[in-house]
Amino acid sequence: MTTSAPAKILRTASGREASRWVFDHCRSAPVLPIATAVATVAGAVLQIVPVFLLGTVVDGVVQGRDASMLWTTGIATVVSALAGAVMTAISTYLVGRLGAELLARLREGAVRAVLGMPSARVEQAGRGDVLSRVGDDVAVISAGFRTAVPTMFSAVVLVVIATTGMFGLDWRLGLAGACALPAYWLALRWYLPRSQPLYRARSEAQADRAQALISGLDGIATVRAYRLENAFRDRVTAESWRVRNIGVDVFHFFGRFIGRENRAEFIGLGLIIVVGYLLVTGGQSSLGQVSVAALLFHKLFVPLGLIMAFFDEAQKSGAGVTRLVGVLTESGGDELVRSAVAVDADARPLPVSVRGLSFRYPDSEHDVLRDVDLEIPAGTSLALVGATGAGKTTLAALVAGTGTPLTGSVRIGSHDLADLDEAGARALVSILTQEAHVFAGPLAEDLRLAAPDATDDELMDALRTVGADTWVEALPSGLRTEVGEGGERLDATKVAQIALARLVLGRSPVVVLDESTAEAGSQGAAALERAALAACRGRTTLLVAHRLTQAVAADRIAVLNSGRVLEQGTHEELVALGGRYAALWAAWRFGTAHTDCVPR
Amino acid sequence: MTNTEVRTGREILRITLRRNRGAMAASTLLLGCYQAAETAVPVLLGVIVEYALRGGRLSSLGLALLALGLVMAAVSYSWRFGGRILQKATTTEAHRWRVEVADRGLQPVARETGLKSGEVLTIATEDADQTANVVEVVPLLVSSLVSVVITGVVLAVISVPLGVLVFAGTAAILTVLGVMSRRIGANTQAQQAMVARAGAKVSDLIAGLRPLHGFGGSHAAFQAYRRVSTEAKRQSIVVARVNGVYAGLGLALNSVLAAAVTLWAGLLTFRGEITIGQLVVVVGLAQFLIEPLKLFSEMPKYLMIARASAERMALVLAAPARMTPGTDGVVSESGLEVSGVTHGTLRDLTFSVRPGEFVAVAAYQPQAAADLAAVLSVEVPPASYQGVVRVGEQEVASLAIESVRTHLLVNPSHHEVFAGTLRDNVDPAGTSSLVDEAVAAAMLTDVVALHSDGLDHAVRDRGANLSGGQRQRLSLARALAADPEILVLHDPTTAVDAVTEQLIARNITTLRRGRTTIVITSSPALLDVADRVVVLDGGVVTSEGTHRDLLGRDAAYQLAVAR
Repeated sequence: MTTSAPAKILRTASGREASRWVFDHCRSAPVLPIATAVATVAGAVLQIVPVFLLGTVVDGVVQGRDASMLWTTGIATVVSALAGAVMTAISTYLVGRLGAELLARLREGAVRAVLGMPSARVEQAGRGDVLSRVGDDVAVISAGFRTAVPTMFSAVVLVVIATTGMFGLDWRLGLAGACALPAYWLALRWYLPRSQPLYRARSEAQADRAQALISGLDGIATVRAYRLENAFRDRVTAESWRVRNIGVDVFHFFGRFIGRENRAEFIGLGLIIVVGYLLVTGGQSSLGQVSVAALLFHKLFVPLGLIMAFFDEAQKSGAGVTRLVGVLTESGGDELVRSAVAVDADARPLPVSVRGLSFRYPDSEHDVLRDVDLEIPAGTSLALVGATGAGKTTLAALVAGTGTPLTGSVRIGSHDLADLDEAGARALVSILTQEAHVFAGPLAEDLRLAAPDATDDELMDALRTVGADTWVEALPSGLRTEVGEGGERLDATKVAQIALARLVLGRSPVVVLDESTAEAGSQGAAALERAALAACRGRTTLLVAHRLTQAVAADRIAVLNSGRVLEQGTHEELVALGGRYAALWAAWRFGTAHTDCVPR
Repeated sequence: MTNTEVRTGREILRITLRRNRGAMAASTLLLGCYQAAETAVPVLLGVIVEYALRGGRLSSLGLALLALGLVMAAVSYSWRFGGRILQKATTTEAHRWRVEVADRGLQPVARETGLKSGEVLTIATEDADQTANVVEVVPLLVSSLVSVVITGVVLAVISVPLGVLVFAGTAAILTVLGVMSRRIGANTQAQQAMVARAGAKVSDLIAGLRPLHGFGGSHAAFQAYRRVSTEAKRQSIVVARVNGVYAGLGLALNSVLAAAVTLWAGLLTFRGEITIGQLVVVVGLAQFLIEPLKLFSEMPKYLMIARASAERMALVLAAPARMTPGTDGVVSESGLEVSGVTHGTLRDLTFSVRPGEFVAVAAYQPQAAADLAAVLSVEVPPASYQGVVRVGEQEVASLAIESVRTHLLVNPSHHEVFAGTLRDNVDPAGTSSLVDEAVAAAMLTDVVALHSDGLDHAVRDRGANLSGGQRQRLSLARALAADPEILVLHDPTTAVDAVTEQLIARNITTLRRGRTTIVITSSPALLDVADRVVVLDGGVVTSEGTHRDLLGRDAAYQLAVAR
């Protein structure tokens, strides 16, 4: 562990660091990068050879040589053209392949790093930042590696080779052509600072426009109920008009940029003509050589234009690489949670002991938990009861090893959670939170996230335990049915059952349940309570009771109020006590705290 | 401009073209100049080689530079201004159609489009853009034709057979590449789909990161991601191979044609039939012709895409409204009456609520509760159910939909949360004077207190950064803050814990005192605070009374609501 205070958002590597990463990758498997470079250079050389041969034709005519020279020139032209085409084909393939391998390694590394980060680090950096790295940045780099980067690479090589060729004709012709390059550079320097913010603003405006429309359409019932149609329509219109205006502005600058590019073309071509004129009239160069230089430069209009057009996108890919390399270096060699499953399948349940636990969120002056003491004997269950904001969820998270207490300790068996990192804690305790998520893909793949080696029969057993076997078998392709985003839609009860089935498959000795069964509606909730009981049978369980029937089923109950334990005991004991819990129970059951009119 | 009545895609295209005639004419002229100037560059190069370089006179060098400067300026300015006019017309046109499509989706009365909201979004964005692109077709077609014609004339002047070779060769190359690029298109799409799948996998894993961490599935998740990523890599390599073949073939065909043209023209030069300058012109034009010819050949595809997009827009724009709301009738008081309504699971349902009363409807079947909410919210048009609903003694069918919703608010049960602040969501119209009271009553205070910016705390679209219970309480706060004369709540506390539910039930009665309130619920806490409970079983009212009264005398009720 480093002692320096952690940065808030994830790291971004320096350009040098990112280059070193790419270089190291290339050095580890040098054959492909070297072959790529050789093929690209050879392709570029062979592409400009025919232009030179044209020069010999011109000089042949001027010097009045025999027309039979056309045959040798012709054969050389066709051969070099075809060889150039073959080399270009090979280079295009190799560049694409190199890019694909680099990209795969980069994105896999970044995803591994993100999955290996402690939850607290992810929450601290913000999910938006995390998702923008492994989502948006990877998408930007993928798009960049598909066209911009290979195009830039080939175009730059061609420009370098052709310029070298012009120097080969006569250094003064080469210099004339090279003089245009600063003009191109200045055009980019003028354009990018103006266009980049506009492009960014445009994609933001486009996102806002889509958001305004889609949230209006998705929430149309609410929009209509609250008569917000005009408000949403006005927002869509305003955002759409904003996109239009930015688009017009962007094009305005783009047109002027192309004008600057044309100017650079004129400078290069004009200089070559002037220098060529001086050389030809001075007898220092042949007409053929000067024609070749002019035609070569005219041939460079396209690759130079491509460099200009793709520069920005290639630069963005570069920025994406620095952000991803930053993520890679952030987590170092951390173990992935559960990469080495340390849990013995037949491990005996362990007791949980909470001593003097206090907790406070950063930037808050107010203690969420105050001096909490709890004991959960091995294999028994404890239910937490209390109003919103009483600290139930915070206590559950701390017992699961997420977050650091202000004072006090949580022990599971002989382990103090303070001595374990999140991966270590997860081997002892699993937590089921209110966030329900079904992972996209076949249902079996979702369940195997909890137990990668489980057989189909074991998966079905787990589903049977939580009462989900019947509906799973009734799915179009059973366990192989696609679920989650874009797949079969599952209601809240089924989603919760899948989460419980993962818990069954995970087999950790201690489980913490903080799921909200209530969203499933009252009938579904009863079924889920039974499922949760079955899933946790024989394991040490801490559960946050949203419905009091959950509390009744637990071995013991603790009532939390403003971060303190108010009452503790079995359901019968607490009802007999006639305190807070007894009142809550009566109210929950019959809707009234006055027990006088309640039937016995 | 809004509410243009169109029926077909053809009509949409006609309107688009008609209202952009001026821009099309101006840009056709300018882009024609641009193409002519572009074609002039290789021609000028030949002239310069012949007269300035070979001739060697200083005055002709000056003239050459002047001519080159003029041509390049013409290229630059005609493209810039022609493009600007065209781009402005196209984006403005896309904006107009986008707004029209959005307008149809966001009207008080639903339309029979049969489209999902994602599809409407695609129509409002991509299809609107592609339809507007039809404005570009004529200018691009005409201007590229200018270039092709000039090239043809120049080549014909130099040598007719050579011109024929250049044209035939270029057309053949375009045909071969066209066939190839269709194959590449399919491959690239497959690759993009793969990359998108890998991307979607990551978003999915991050969306489920907390549960994933909870059960310790990170390692297995990474293995799953690696499989998808490897598959995407393999597909990218396939695409690279196809791209390589395509690039190589294109280059080979182009260079062979260039070699043939060079040699033939070279032969003519040796024979003295053409000058060296003409040789340079022919070689230059042969390299240049492919660009305008490609543009020219792509126009039919452009037109087809625009046509298909316009047809999809017509699906939304021409869809009929689901109902015609009435216009007359003034609501004078705030009672609600349901009389003989038969719809879905409701069978001749009759009950009424007096002004200012707090009534709970306990529906034993959840579907009946949903059907009742759908009827009251006018989501189901009055014409498609039997019976009558009256708001303040006026039949809903005779009222304008706006006036129904002014008096009667049925809070939708899926708790929509919009991107914005907590305050924007509690008071979306910005007119409520009850925001603080509503927030307190819905027990949202702790969510507000959690953030230093309080009610101005940002919430993400669909309340992605809120829990289910928080979303539900936010939705309830919104309904209470709207303070309508008649408020209908449907299962307002299902995602809230038992203790909080108690408090909310009491708060609702306090805040709604004197206003008409109907709560469709099976929660004892809410049933207990109501003035009267209406029991709905099998689509009809089977029992009525206070909660305690019903608990005492009705065994079926006891079984159904007590937990």
